[in-house]
Amino acid sequence: MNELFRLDPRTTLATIGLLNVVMFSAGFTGGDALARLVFQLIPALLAIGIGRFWPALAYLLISLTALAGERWLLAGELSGAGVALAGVCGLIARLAPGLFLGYVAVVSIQVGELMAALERLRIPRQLVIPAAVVLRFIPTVREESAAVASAMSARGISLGRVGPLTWLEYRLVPLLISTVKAGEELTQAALTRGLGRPGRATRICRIGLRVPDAAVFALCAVGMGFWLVG
Amino acid sequence: MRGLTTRNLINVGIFTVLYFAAVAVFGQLGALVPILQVLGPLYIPIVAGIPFTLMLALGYSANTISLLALVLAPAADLICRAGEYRRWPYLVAGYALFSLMLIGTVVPLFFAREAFLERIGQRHDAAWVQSMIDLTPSWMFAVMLAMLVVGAVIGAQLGRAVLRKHFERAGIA
Amino acid sequence: MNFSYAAADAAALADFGLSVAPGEFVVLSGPSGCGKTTATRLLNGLIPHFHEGDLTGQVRVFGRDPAQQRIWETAAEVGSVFQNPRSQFFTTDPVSEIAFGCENLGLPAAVTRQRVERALAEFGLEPLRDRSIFALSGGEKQRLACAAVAATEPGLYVLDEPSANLDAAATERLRAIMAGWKASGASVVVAEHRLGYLRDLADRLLVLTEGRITGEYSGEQFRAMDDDALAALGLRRATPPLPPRSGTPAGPALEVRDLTYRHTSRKVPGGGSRRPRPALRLDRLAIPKGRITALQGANGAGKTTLARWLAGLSPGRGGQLLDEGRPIGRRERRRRVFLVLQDVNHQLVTESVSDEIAVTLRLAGPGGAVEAERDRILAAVDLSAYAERHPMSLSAGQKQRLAIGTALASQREIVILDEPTSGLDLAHMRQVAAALRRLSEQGRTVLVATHDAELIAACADHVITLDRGRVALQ
Repeated sequence: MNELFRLDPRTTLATIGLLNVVMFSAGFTGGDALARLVFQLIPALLAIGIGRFWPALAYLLISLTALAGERWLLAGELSGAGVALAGVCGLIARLAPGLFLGYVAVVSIQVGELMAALERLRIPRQLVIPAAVVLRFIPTVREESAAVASAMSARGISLGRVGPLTWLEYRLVPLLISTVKAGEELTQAALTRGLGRPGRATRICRIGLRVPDAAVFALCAVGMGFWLVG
Repeated sequence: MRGLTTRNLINVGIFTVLYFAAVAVFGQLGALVPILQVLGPLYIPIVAGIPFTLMLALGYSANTISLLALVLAPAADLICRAGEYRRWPYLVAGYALFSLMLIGTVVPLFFAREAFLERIGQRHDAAWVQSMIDLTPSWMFAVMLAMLVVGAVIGAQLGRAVLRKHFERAGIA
Repeated sequence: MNFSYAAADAAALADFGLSVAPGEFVVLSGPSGCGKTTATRLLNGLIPHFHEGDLTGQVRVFGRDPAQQRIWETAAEVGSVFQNPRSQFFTTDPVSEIAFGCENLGLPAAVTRQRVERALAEFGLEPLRDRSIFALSGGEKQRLACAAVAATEPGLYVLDEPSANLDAAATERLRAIMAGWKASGASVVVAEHRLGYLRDLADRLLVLTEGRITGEYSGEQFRAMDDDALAALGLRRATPPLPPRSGTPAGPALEVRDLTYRHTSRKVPGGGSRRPRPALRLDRLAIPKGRITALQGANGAGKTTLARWLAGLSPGRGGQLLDEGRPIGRRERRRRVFLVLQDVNHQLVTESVSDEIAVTLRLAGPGGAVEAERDRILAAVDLSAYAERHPMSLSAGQKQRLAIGTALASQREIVILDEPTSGLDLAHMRQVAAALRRLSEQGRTVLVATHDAELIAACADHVITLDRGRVALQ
């Protein structure tokens, strides 16, 4: 299942921003509730857009249940436990969309695009480079982490046999060292290819706002509208 | 922001990822013991102390820390700079401040609480609301802050121990 | 476009002088640690901008001294290709990666796009343009690295052991690329110790030992050297050695039967997934017990997959491992097989060499004193002098030996190694071969997955060849 549409990275980033604003300040009634619902759904749409159908489904299941739970619990008479549960539901409902959208962003945005987008926004290179490196290294660190875990289990080093603090040490230290070394190699390669030259870099990646971006912005506008009116 | 070389910038990106990776690994450990979730503010700075100290050792030029956490960190950076990035107590204090960024994990709890109470207040009587407020006292917030600071101190010490034991001898610090 | 320099860096290079004419192809060689990498770093500006140290003397590249310029100025004229394909890439897709250098240097977008298209065509990367870099093979990655460097059209190419992780086919492609560069008039400086593929290209060969130039040979002299002469200089052979005779082995054996292995379908970034062909399709494969067997094949033939399956690290569908007729399940395989990974860094976890061995001993056996055994093992792999060093501070060859030491300590009877000698020079390769022989002397069964023909010739009793997941020869 392949992607249905590609979004400009700026759209995705802007959506994350707007979504989080609404999630943490909207209340429970009227416009606010509708706003939350809209922003609850947007990450799922984007996920389906890039072909991640099952994760989108799982996310919807969890977050909508939480939302419904919160609503339903608050509507009735409550015991202390009920309130606590409602609180937890509320928390999940508010955090999940942001986290899921973050996951979608990391999975769908490529490093080249990100650099092009951020530089187009005139963000200084002191921020662009770290951002690009974060995106670039997330898969690397995941791979390395899995490799270390697999190596450990192959050697028979498990939690039960060495104790928690030692386990942590064995698990983390090789990861840190190997990632740092990879970082050094990357830096050397990047430096010999001109990274760090003052002045603007001319990124060729074709990004631009197109129909899907407009659609997403429109959805966000609807959500924001509800929130503002709320 | 003077003095930030490309190399430093790349390191910042790497350590951001490693920071979260360290926390995730510890989270695996903690998955067995759910209580650890609540203690989040305590253990996160501890574990993350390891990558953080490594990062410091590798690139303690000005403002490296600022970059890693835009909002609270300039203050952390100032503190560290006062100690010229070398004097240990200053570094610890800086890291503590930096870890306060993690207050972000707790903030949603309190936002939710506020909105919550507002909502409930509309439907139930005042006494009941009062009892709700008692359930989630505000001093919890202060406790969490304290935990963060304590955790940060422990984390920094742990980081230094690991630095000496491993990273320096491995030749990467 | 002449350049010449004389540098004396006490630790790494002393009284070093080199002058390269435009369009000349120079090979720097010598045993590990001789300074050839340091020389390349002088040329591309990494010394002094990245690696700090004491530099006396001058370097001149195209009339200017890299130490006096900013490194991105040097980058415009000097292109560098490194040893490890994995960590050279800044972006995640080939098109951006090829464009990266040009973009950074501020070339107009139209020019950059043109160069990208040309590079994709010239380097045979067109079909790969939409893949993620993480999904490319080692050979493809190195080709991409070359394309990315070529896009900035440098006058000098500097390469540091570029063939270290490549198999024979990929190395040949690399050779063709470098021939193309030479033909276009660029100068090329390569630091290598696998010299076979460079024979016809080199105009000059410089041999370094411990930071000094100990031999300088013209192209013809280099081509006239036979393998013994090269070995005397500490260099790897130029022509592949004769492999040991293959044929069905006698004696007790472990057998793999009816194994079909498919990787779980992988997600491609940006969405979508592919269901790949089976990585392994083996009807019958026999590994003699107590001997050293080499598992040969190009990268991607399935050697690592088989190694991991044997070690019980990945489940296979169907397939059995039989020990003299008795099937061995996955859990038992995990207990009896010790796997030394391709990237040894993932396996070394403690803070000292002796600890690494000691911990493994303790995990493997009952309690009690392990010091004596530990010391014996350290001596067996020739690391006694390094007992207190941190594992990560060792050289690649030493780390391999340490890993073999942990294999010894694990008391497991089957040891599998995945590419233990990539990038190792002659002396270290021989040491690894010796360590493997020690394993086999203890009665253990050793399986080495490798494309290093010299290693196979040095210690293998038996050879199995894999080709695209099937047994081609055994």
